[in-house]
Amino acid sequence: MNKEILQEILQTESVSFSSEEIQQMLDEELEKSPEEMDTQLIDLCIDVLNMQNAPDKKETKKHKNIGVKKILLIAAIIGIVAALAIPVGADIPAIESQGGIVNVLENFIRVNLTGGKEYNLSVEFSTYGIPHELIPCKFYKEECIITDVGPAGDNAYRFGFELTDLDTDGYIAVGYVPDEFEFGYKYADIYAEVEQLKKMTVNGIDMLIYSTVDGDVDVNYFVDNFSFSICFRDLTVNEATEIIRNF
Amino acid sequence: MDILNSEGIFDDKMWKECFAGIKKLCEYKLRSCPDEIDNVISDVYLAFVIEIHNNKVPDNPQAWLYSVANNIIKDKYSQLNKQNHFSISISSHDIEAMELTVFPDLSDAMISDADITLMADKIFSQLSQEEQQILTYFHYENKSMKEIADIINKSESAVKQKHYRLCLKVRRLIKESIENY
Repeated sequence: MNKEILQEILQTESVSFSSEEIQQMLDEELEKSPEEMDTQLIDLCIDVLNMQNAPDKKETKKHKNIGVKKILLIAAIIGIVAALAIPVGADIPAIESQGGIVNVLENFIRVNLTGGKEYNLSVEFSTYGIPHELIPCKFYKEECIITDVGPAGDNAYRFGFELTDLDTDGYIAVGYVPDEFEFGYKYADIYAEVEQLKKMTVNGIDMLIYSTVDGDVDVNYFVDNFSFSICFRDLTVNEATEIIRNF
Repeated sequence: MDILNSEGIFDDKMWKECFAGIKKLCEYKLRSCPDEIDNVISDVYLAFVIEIHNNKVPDNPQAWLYSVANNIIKDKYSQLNKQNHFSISISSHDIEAMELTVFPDLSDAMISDADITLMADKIFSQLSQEEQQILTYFHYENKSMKEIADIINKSESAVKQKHYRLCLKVRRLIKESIENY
Protein backbone atom coordinates (compact mmCIF):
# COMPACT_ATOMS: atom_id res chain seq x y z
CA MET A 1 0.00 0.00 0.00
CA ASN A 2 1.31 3.45 -0.75
CA LYS A 3 0.68 7.08 0.01
CA GLU A 4 -1.67 7.54 -2.93
CA ILE A 5 -3.94 4.72 -1.78
CA LEU A 6 -4.01 6.06 1.75
CA GLN A 7 -4.82 9.50 0.41
CA GLU A 8 -7.56 8.08 -1.75
CA ILE A 9 -9.12 6.38 1.25
CA LEU A 10 -8.81 9.51 3.34
CA GLN A 11 -10.38 11.75 0.74
CA THR A 12 -13.43 9.61 0.03
CA GLU A 13 -16.34 11.77 1.09
CA SER A 14 -19.32 9.51 1.11
CA VAL A 15 -20.66 6.17 0.06
CA SER A 16 -24.22 5.56 -0.97
CA PHE A 17 -26.12 2.77 0.68
CA SER A 18 -29.72 1.77 0.72
CA SER A 19 -31.55 1.72 4.03
CA GLU A 20 -31.48 -2.04 3.93
CA GLU A 21 -27.74 -2.09 3.47
CA ILE A 22 -27.20 0.27 6.36
CA GLN A 23 -29.57 -1.77 8.50
CA GLN A 24 -27.61 -4.86 7.56
CA MET A 25 -24.31 -3.21 8.48
CA LEU A 26 -25.79 -2.11 11.79
CA ASP A 27 -27.12 -5.57 12.63
CA GLU A 28 -23.88 -7.28 11.66
CA GLU A 29 -21.86 -4.94 13.79
CA LEU A 30 -24.17 -5.37 16.78
CA GLU A 31 -23.78 -9.14 16.54
CA LYS A 32 -20.02 -8.90 16.98
CA SER A 33 -18.34 -9.35 20.31
CA PRO A 34 -17.55 -6.13 22.17
CA GLU A 35 -13.87 -6.62 21.37
CA GLU A 36 -14.55 -6.57 17.63
CA MET A 37 -17.43 -4.12 17.57
CA ASP A 38 -16.98 -0.77 15.85
CA THR A 39 -19.11 1.60 17.91
CA GLN A 40 -18.37 4.49 15.60
CA LEU A 41 -19.93 2.61 12.70
CA ILE A 42 -22.95 1.75 14.81
CA ASP A 43 -23.43 5.40 15.74
CA LEU A 44 -23.08 6.43 12.11
CA CYS A 45 -25.62 3.89 10.92
CA ILE A 46 -28.14 4.85 13.57
CA ASP A 47 -27.77 8.56 12.84
CA VAL A 48 -28.38 7.99 9.16
CA LEU A 49 -31.27 5.61 9.69
CA ASN A 50 -32.83 7.97 12.22
CA MET A 51 -32.76 10.70 9.61
CA GLN A 52 -35.06 8.47 7.65
CA ASN A 53 -37.36 8.23 10.62
CA ALA A 54 -37.18 11.87 11.69
CA PRO A 55 -40.32 13.25 13.40
CA ASP A 56 -41.06 15.71 10.62
CA LYS A 57 -41.55 12.76 8.34
CA LYS A 58 -44.68 11.79 10.27
CA GLU A 59 -43.20 9.66 13.02
CA THR A 60 -43.98 10.98 16.50
CA LYS A 61 -42.07 9.76 19.48
CA LYS A 62 -44.54 8.74 22.11
CA HIS A 63 -42.12 7.49 24.69
CA LYS A 64 -40.83 9.61 27.52
CA ASN A 65 -37.19 10.47 27.45
CA ILE A 66 -35.74 8.55 30.32
CA GLY A 67 -33.94 10.95 32.55
CA VAL A 68 -30.73 10.13 34.29
CA LYS A 69 -32.47 10.71 37.62
CA LYS A 70 -34.93 7.93 36.90
CA ILE A 71 -32.07 5.65 36.01
CA LEU A 72 -30.45 6.49 39.31
CA LEU A 73 -33.65 5.64 41.14
CA ILE A 74 -33.88 2.33 39.36
CA ALA A 75 -30.30 1.65 40.23
CA ALA A 76 -31.06 2.26 43.89
CA ILE A 77 -32.66 -1.17 44.00
CA ILE A 78 -29.64 -2.88 42.47
CA GLY A 79 -28.77 -4.19 45.88
CA ILE A 80 -31.95 -6.22 45.93
CA VAL A 81 -31.33 -7.53 42.43
CA ALA A 82 -27.81 -8.51 43.42
CA ALA A 83 -29.12 -10.13 46.57
CA LEU A 84 -31.36 -12.38 44.53
CA ALA A 85 -28.29 -13.66 42.74
CA ILE A 86 -26.34 -14.18 45.93
CA PRO A 87 -27.38 -17.26 47.89
CA VAL A 88 -27.89 -16.76 51.57
CA GLY A 89 -24.69 -17.45 53.37
CA ALA A 90 -22.51 -16.77 50.33
CA ASP A 91 -19.66 -14.41 50.73
CA ILE A 92 -20.61 -10.89 49.87
CA PRO A 93 -17.91 -9.43 47.63
CA ALA A 94 -15.64 -7.18 49.60
CA ILE A 95 -16.70 -3.72 48.66
CA GLU A 96 -15.37 -0.84 50.61
CA SER A 97 -17.96 1.50 51.91
CA GLN A 98 -16.83 4.96 51.08
CA GLY A 99 -18.83 7.98 51.94
CA GLY A 100 -22.05 6.00 51.99
CA ILE A 101 -21.72 5.11 48.33
CA VAL A 102 -21.80 1.38 48.90
CA ASN A 103 -23.40 -0.05 52.00
CA VAL A 104 -23.32 -3.70 52.85
CA LEU A 105 -26.48 -4.37 54.79
CA GLU A 106 -26.93 -7.89 56.08
CA ASN A 107 -27.59 -9.89 52.97
CA PHE A 108 -27.75 -7.24 50.34
CA ILE A 109 -25.72 -4.43 49.04
CA ARG A 110 -27.07 -1.00 48.33
CA VAL A 111 -25.22 1.01 45.75
CA ASN A 112 -25.83 4.71 45.91
CA LEU A 113 -24.76 5.85 42.50
CA THR A 114 -25.07 9.50 43.31
CA GLY A 115 -21.89 9.22 45.34
CA GLY A 116 -23.57 9.28 48.72
CA LYS A 117 -25.00 12.75 48.30
CA GLU A 118 -27.89 13.98 50.40
CA TYR A 119 -31.19 14.65 48.80
CA ASN A 120 -33.32 17.72 49.00
CA LEU A 121 -36.78 16.53 49.91
CA SER A 122 -38.48 19.51 48.28
CA VAL A 123 -36.73 18.77 45.02
CA GLU A 124 -37.55 15.07 45.24
CA PHE A 125 -41.19 15.74 45.98
CA SER A 126 -41.39 18.21 43.11
CA THR A 127 -39.91 15.62 40.80
CA TYR A 128 -42.71 13.19 41.60
CA GLY A 129 -45.50 15.71 41.86
CA ILE A 130 -45.98 15.19 45.59
CA PRO A 131 -47.34 18.25 47.41
CA HIS A 132 -44.77 19.60 49.87
CA GLU A 133 -47.27 20.65 52.47
CA LEU A 134 -48.61 17.17 53.19
CA ILE A 135 -45.80 15.97 55.43
CA PRO A 136 -44.61 17.38 58.76
CA CYS A 137 -42.23 20.32 58.51
CA LYS A 138 -39.66 18.37 60.57
CA PHE A 139 -38.57 16.63 57.41
CA TYR A 140 -37.58 19.90 55.78
CA LYS A 141 -35.38 20.99 58.66
CA GLU A 142 -31.64 20.79 58.89
CA GLU A 143 -31.66 17.88 61.31
CA CYS A 144 -33.40 15.71 58.75
CA ILE A 145 -31.19 14.04 56.16
CA ILE A 146 -32.83 12.27 53.27
CA THR A 147 -30.56 9.27 52.69
CA ASP A 148 -32.08 7.50 49.75
CA VAL A 149 -34.90 7.71 47.27
CA GLY A 150 -36.40 4.84 45.38
CA PRO A 151 -39.54 3.33 43.91
CA ALA A 152 -41.85 1.41 46.21
CA GLY A 153 -44.30 -0.16 43.78
CA ASP A 154 -46.62 1.28 41.19
CA ASN A 155 -46.94 5.05 41.53
CA ALA A 156 -45.23 4.88 44.91
CA TYR A 157 -41.89 6.18 46.14
CA ARG A 158 -39.88 5.70 49.27
CA PHE A 159 -37.69 8.34 50.89
CA GLY A 160 -35.29 7.18 53.58
CA PHE A 161 -34.43 9.69 56.28
CA GLU A 162 -32.34 10.23 59.39
CA LEU A 163 -33.31 12.59 62.19
CA THR A 164 -29.97 13.48 63.68
CA ASP A 165 -31.38 15.28 66.69
CA LEU A 166 -33.44 12.26 67.74
CA ASP A 167 -30.94 9.63 66.68
CA THR A 168 -33.53 7.84 64.66
CA ASP A 169 -34.13 6.94 61.07
CA GLY A 170 -36.92 5.61 58.94
CA TYR A 171 -38.68 6.23 55.70
CA ILE A 172 -41.58 8.04 54.12
CA ALA A 173 -43.54 6.04 51.58
CA VAL A 174 -45.84 8.03 49.32
CA GLY A 175 -48.27 6.48 46.90
CA TYR A 176 -50.61 8.08 44.43
CA VAL A 177 -54.13 6.67 44.41
CA PRO A 178 -56.32 7.70 41.47
CA ASP A 179 -59.98 8.43 42.10
CA GLU A 180 -61.13 5.31 40.36
CA PHE A 181 -59.04 3.13 42.61
CA GLU A 182 -61.34 1.80 45.30
CA PHE A 183 -59.01 -0.43 47.20
CA GLY A 184 -55.38 -0.49 48.14
CA TYR A 185 -53.89 2.63 49.54
CA LYS A 186 -57.15 4.07 50.81
CA TYR A 187 -57.11 1.41 53.45
CA ALA A 188 -54.17 0.90 55.74
CA ASP A 189 -53.81 -2.78 56.40
CA ILE A 190 -51.45 -3.35 59.25
CA TYR A 191 -49.55 -6.59 59.28
CA ALA A 192 -47.53 -6.25 62.42
CA GLU A 193 -47.77 -6.92 66.12
CA VAL A 194 -49.16 -3.69 67.38
CA GLU A 195 -48.41 -2.50 70.86
CA GLN A 196 -50.08 0.85 70.88
CA LEU A 197 -52.58 2.37 68.48
CA LYS A 198 -54.21 5.74 68.30
CA LYS A 199 -55.97 8.02 65.90
CA MET A 200 -55.54 11.77 65.72
CA THR A 201 -56.46 14.62 63.42
CA VAL A 202 -53.89 17.14 62.26
CA ASN A 203 -54.90 20.01 59.97
CA GLY A 204 -58.11 18.18 59.21
CA ILE A 205 -56.26 15.02 58.19
CA ASP A 206 -57.12 11.82 60.03
CA MET A 207 -54.01 9.90 60.97
CA LEU A 208 -53.40 6.48 62.36
CA ILE A 209 -50.38 6.07 64.63
CA TYR A 210 -49.24 2.76 65.99
CA SER A 211 -46.18 1.22 67.50
CA THR A 212 -45.02 -2.33 66.87
CA VAL A 213 -43.15 -4.86 68.96
CA ASP A 214 -40.10 -4.21 66.74
CA GLY A 215 -39.83 -0.74 68.20
CA ASP A 216 -41.04 1.06 65.08
CA VAL A 217 -43.72 3.73 65.06
CA ASP A 218 -45.79 4.10 61.92
CA VAL A 219 -48.01 6.96 60.88
CA ASN A 220 -50.50 6.41 58.08
CA TYR A 221 -52.79 8.94 56.45
CA PHE A 222 -54.50 9.58 53.16
CA VAL A 223 -55.11 13.00 51.62
CA ASP A 224 -55.62 14.47 48.13
CA ASN A 225 -55.18 11.12 46.39
CA PHE A 226 -51.88 10.52 48.15
CA SER A 227 -51.29 7.89 50.78
CA PHE A 228 -48.51 8.51 53.27
CA SER A 229 -46.79 6.03 55.50
CA ILE A 230 -44.07 7.38 57.74
CA CYS A 231 -42.04 4.84 59.64
CA PHE A 232 -39.87 5.94 62.55
CA ARG A 233 -37.42 3.45 63.98
CA ASP A 234 -36.66 3.41 67.69
CA LEU A 235 -39.02 6.20 68.57
CA THR A 236 -41.91 6.36 71.00
CA VAL A 237 -45.47 7.11 69.98
CA ASN A 238 -45.32 10.38 71.92
CA GLU A 239 -42.15 11.48 70.11
CA ALA A 240 -43.68 10.59 66.75
CA THR A 241 -46.86 12.43 67.69
CA GLU A 242 -44.88 15.59 68.42
CA ILE A 243 -43.28 15.41 64.99
CA ILE A 244 -46.47 14.94 63.04
CA ARG A 245 -48.41 17.64 64.90
CA ASN A 246 -46.53 20.30 62.91
CA PHE A 247 -47.08 20.58 59.21
CA MET B 1 -12.64 4.99 29.51
CA ASP B 2 -12.47 4.37 33.24
CA ILE B 3 -15.62 3.14 34.82
CA LEU B 4 -14.27 3.39 38.30
CA ASN B 5 -12.84 6.62 39.54
CA SER B 6 -9.53 6.93 41.35
CA GLU B 7 -11.07 5.60 44.57
CA GLY B 8 -12.42 2.56 42.82
CA ILE B 9 -15.98 3.78 43.04
CA PHE B 10 -18.42 3.37 40.17
CA ASP B 11 -18.48 6.62 38.28
CA ASP B 12 -21.95 7.43 37.06
CA LYS B 13 -20.51 9.89 34.58
CA MET B 14 -19.29 7.00 32.43
CA TRP B 15 -22.83 5.73 32.04
CA LYS B 16 -23.96 9.19 31.04
CA GLU B 17 -21.30 9.28 28.31
CA CYS B 18 -22.47 5.95 26.95
CA PHE B 19 -26.12 6.76 27.51
CA ALA B 20 -26.60 8.90 24.40
CA GLY B 21 -25.57 6.06 22.11
CA ILE B 22 -27.69 3.50 23.95
CA LYS B 23 -30.69 5.81 23.85
CA LYS B 24 -30.33 6.35 20.11
CA LEU B 25 -29.96 2.64 19.49
CA CYS B 26 -33.04 1.80 21.55
CA GLU B 27 -35.07 4.59 19.99
CA TYR B 28 -34.22 3.31 16.54
CA LYS B 29 -34.59 -0.40 17.18
CA LEU B 30 -37.78 -0.01 19.20
CA ARG B 31 -39.46 2.63 17.08
CA SER B 32 -42.32 0.25 16.39
CA CYS B 33 -42.96 -0.17 20.12
CA PRO B 34 -41.82 3.06 21.76
CA ASP B 35 -43.43 2.17 25.10
CA GLU B 36 -40.69 -0.40 25.57
CA ILE B 37 -37.80 2.01 25.14
CA ASP B 38 -37.62 3.11 28.76
CA ASN B 39 -37.85 -0.47 29.96
CA VAL B 40 -35.04 -1.65 27.72
CA ILE B 41 -32.77 1.24 28.67
CA SER B 42 -33.45 0.46 32.33
CA ASP B 43 -32.58 -3.19 31.76
CA VAL B 44 -29.34 -2.22 30.04
CA TYR B 45 -28.45 0.03 32.93
CA LEU B 46 -29.22 -2.70 35.45
CA ALA B 47 -26.98 -5.12 33.57
CA PHE B 48 -24.22 -2.53 33.52
CA VAL B 49 -24.34 -1.81 37.21
CA ILE B 50 -24.48 -5.49 38.11
CA GLU B 51 -21.45 -6.10 35.92
CA ILE B 52 -19.57 -3.36 37.72
CA HIS B 53 -20.84 -4.64 41.04
CA ASN B 54 -19.34 -8.03 40.20
CA ASN B 55 -16.01 -6.31 39.56
CA LYS B 56 -16.16 -6.99 35.84
CA VAL B 57 -15.32 -3.72 34.16
CA PRO B 58 -15.74 -4.00 30.38
CA ASP B 59 -12.68 -3.00 28.38
CA ASN B 60 -14.90 -1.17 25.92
CA PRO B 61 -18.02 -0.13 27.85
CA GLN B 62 -19.76 1.43 24.86
CA ALA B 63 -19.38 -1.73 22.79
CA TRP B 64 -20.36 -3.93 25.72
CA LEU B 65 -23.48 -1.86 26.30
CA TYR B 66 -24.42 -2.02 22.63
CA SER B 67 -24.06 -5.78 22.75
CA VAL B 68 -26.22 -6.05 25.87
CA ALA B 69 -28.82 -3.66 24.46
CA ASN B 70 -28.97 -5.62 21.23
CA ASN B 71 -29.61 -8.87 23.07
CA ILE B 72 -32.25 -7.32 25.32
CA ILE B 73 -34.00 -5.80 22.32
CA LYS B 74 -34.03 -9.15 20.53
CA ASP B 75 -35.52 -10.80 23.61
CA LYS B 76 -38.08 -8.04 23.84
CA TYR B 77 -39.19 -8.61 20.27
CA SER B 78 -39.38 -12.34 20.90
CA GLN B 79 -41.73 -11.67 23.78
CA LEU B 80 -43.76 -9.15 21.86
CA ASN B 81 -43.95 -11.35 18.78
CA LYS B 82 -45.50 -14.05 20.86
CA GLN B 83 -48.27 -11.65 21.73
CA ASN B 84 -48.60 -9.71 18.51
CA HIS B 85 -47.09 -9.90 15.10
CA PHE B 86 -44.46 -7.20 14.76
CA SER B 87 -42.83 -6.34 11.54
CA ILE B 88 -40.49 -3.52 10.85
CA SER B 89 -40.49 -2.40 7.30
CA ILE B 90 -37.41 -0.73 5.95
CA SER B 91 -37.59 1.43 2.92
CA SER B 92 -35.12 0.54 0.26
CA HIS B 93 -34.52 3.84 -1.42
CA ASP B 94 -31.00 5.09 -1.53
CA ILE B 95 -29.43 7.33 1.00
CA GLU B 96 -26.43 9.40 0.26
CA ALA B 97 -25.63 10.35 3.76
CA MET B 98 -23.14 7.73 4.91
CA GLU B 99 -20.45 10.30 5.06
CA LEU B 100 -16.84 9.81 5.85
CA THR B 101 -15.16 12.73 7.50
CA VAL B 102 -12.55 14.01 5.12
CA PHE B 103 -9.14 13.88 6.71
CA PRO B 104 -6.58 16.53 6.01
CA ASP B 105 -4.04 15.84 3.32
CA LEU B 106 -1.32 13.45 4.46
CA SER B 107 1.26 15.96 3.37
CA ASP B 108 0.01 18.31 6.08
CA ALA B 109 0.89 15.73 8.71
CA MET B 110 4.59 16.55 8.29
CA ILE B 111 5.56 12.95 7.78
CA SER B 112 8.24 12.01 5.34
CA ASP B 113 7.31 9.96 2.30
CA ALA B 114 9.49 7.15 3.53
CA ASP B 115 7.67 7.06 6.84
CA ILE B 116 4.31 7.20 5.11
CA THR B 117 5.30 4.17 3.08
CA LEU B 118 6.27 2.35 6.25
CA MET B 119 2.98 3.40 7.82
CA ALA B 120 1.06 2.18 4.79
CA ASP B 121 2.79 -1.19 4.87
CA LYS B 122 2.16 -1.58 8.55
CA ILE B 123 -1.52 -0.70 8.14
CA PHE B 124 -1.86 -3.12 5.25
CA SER B 125 -0.37 -5.91 7.33
CA GLN B 126 -3.00 -5.24 10.02
CA LEU B 127 -5.83 -5.93 7.62
CA SER B 128 -7.43 -9.33 7.18
CA GLN B 129 -6.81 -11.27 3.97
CA GLU B 130 -10.24 -10.36 2.64
CA GLU B 131 -9.72 -6.69 3.49
CA GLN B 132 -6.36 -6.74 1.71
CA GLN B 133 -8.02 -8.32 -1.31
CA ILE B 134 -10.77 -5.72 -1.46
CA LEU B 135 -8.32 -2.89 -1.04
CA THR B 136 -6.04 -4.28 -3.74
CA TYR B 137 -8.83 -4.96 -6.23
CA PHE B 138 -10.56 -1.62 -5.72
CA HIS B 139 -7.72 0.82 -5.24
CA TYR B 140 -4.89 -0.81 -7.18
CA GLU B 141 -6.67 -2.63 -9.93
CA ASN B 142 -9.65 -0.26 -10.14
CA LYS B 143 -12.14 -3.08 -10.24
CA SER B 144 -15.80 -2.31 -9.64
CA MET B 145 -17.70 -3.59 -6.64
CA LYS B 146 -19.52 -6.01 -8.92
CA GLU B 147 -16.26 -7.42 -10.27
CA ILE B 148 -14.83 -7.78 -6.78
CA ALA B 149 -18.01 -9.49 -5.63
CA ASP B 150 -17.69 -12.04 -8.42
CA ILE B 151 -14.04 -12.70 -7.55
CA ILE B 152 -14.49 -13.17 -3.81
CA ASN B 153 -17.88 -14.81 -4.17
CA LYS B 154 -19.93 -12.33 -2.19
CA SER B 155 -22.85 -10.06 -3.06
CA GLU B 156 -22.14 -6.61 -4.42
CA SER B 157 -23.91 -5.10 -1.44
CA ALA B 158 -21.73 -7.06 0.96
CA VAL B 159 -18.58 -5.90 -0.82
CA LYS B 160 -19.75 -2.30 -0.69
CA GLN B 161 -20.36 -2.58 3.03
CA LYS B 162 -17.03 -4.27 3.61
CA HIS B 163 -15.26 -1.58 1.67
CA TYR B 164 -16.97 1.12 3.71
CA ARG B 165 -15.94 -0.58 6.92
CA LEU B 166 -12.45 -0.96 5.53
CA CYS B 167 -12.25 2.77 4.87
CA LEU B 168 -13.30 3.50 8.44
CA LYS B 169 -10.72 1.07 9.78
CA VAL B 170 -7.87 2.36 7.65
CA ARG B 171 -8.69 5.94 8.59
CA ARG B 172 -8.59 5.02 12.25
CA LEU B 173 -5.26 3.27 11.82
CA ILE B 174 -3.83 6.25 9.96
CA LYS B 175 -5.02 8.59 12.66
CA GLU B 176 -3.43 6.42 15.36
CA SER B 177 -0.19 6.24 13.42
CA ILE B 178 -0.04 9.99 13.00
CA GLU B 179 -0.78 10.56 16.66
CA ASN B 180 1.98 8.16 17.65
CA TYR B 181 4.45 9.59 15.15
